[in-house]
Amino acid sequence: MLLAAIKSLISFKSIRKLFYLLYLFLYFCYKIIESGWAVGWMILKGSRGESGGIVEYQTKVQKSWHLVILFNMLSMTPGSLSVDLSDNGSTIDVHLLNLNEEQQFIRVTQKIESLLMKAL
Amino acid sequence: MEPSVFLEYASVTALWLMTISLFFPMYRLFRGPSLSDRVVALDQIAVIVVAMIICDVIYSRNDVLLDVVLIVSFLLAFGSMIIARYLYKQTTQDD
Amino acid sequence: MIEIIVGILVILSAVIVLIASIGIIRFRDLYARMHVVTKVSSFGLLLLLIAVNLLYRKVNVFIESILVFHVLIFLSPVSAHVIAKITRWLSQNSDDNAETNQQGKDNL
Repeated sequence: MLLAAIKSLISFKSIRKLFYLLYLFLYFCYKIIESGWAVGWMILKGSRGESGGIVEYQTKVQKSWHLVILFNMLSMTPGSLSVDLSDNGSTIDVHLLNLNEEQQFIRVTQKIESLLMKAL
Repeated sequence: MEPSVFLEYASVTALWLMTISLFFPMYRLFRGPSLSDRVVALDQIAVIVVAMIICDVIYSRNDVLLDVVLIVSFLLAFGSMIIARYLYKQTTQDD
Repeated sequence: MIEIIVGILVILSAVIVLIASIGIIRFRDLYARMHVVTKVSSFGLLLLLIAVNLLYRKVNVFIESILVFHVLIFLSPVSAHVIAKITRWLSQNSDDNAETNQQGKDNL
């Protein structure tokens, strides 16, 4: 009976969720280190930080606390800082340090978004 | 060279480097064009103070000082929020 | 042997904090300076916390450094966002009338 309870607790789905949560955490730690290194290297190359601008990003997450986690994670990925949120919670205004890297930013953010929806 | 002696020299060197780096945000604090620039400079000064206390933890082998690190990092986070609130109230008072 | 690794990590993190301060004085845009404060300084403090944990290897030091790390990761983006939002709102309606002021008061 105890064995059956443990088996129902640790089902296939929860193991998959745990795996995605761990993967999200490790990916986030890697992104923190990469972003610190990238901005530091940009300072050492002598940039004056003048090629930035504010872009809009359309999100697909619905729950409000998913949105809070995404909003905080966006400030830690390389070259992006979340500035504002629209009233219905569908558009995030993001400041990019380098406007030429917009495609890379969209790719990274979509990956984080899909991982977040799978993990929680 | 003994490893513990190397660790002492390394932490003292790190303390000197952080003391030098304390001057740059101080310049930004005095010369900043707007009030928001000064808030950002104060954030950086608080981060440097936290790093100096952690260096002192390594130099003096006394881990009680980590409590101080926790409190200062909380003040770093909430202080800038309170300054932002004050900045907002100051601009909306005159209408 | 472990003390040599700790010393190298400490010097590396001090150099990273120095780079962050140089970035504070070099960058011209306010948002770019916020990037520096949020990312590069957090990276330097992360290296210092790893060094402390390598030196002490005790449970209470580990728990305390986890607390400091979480405060840095989850609260410093929030404060940067508050400052950025206020600055953007100030620059948007510096020459507008009181109607947008009322709208901004509802948003905050």
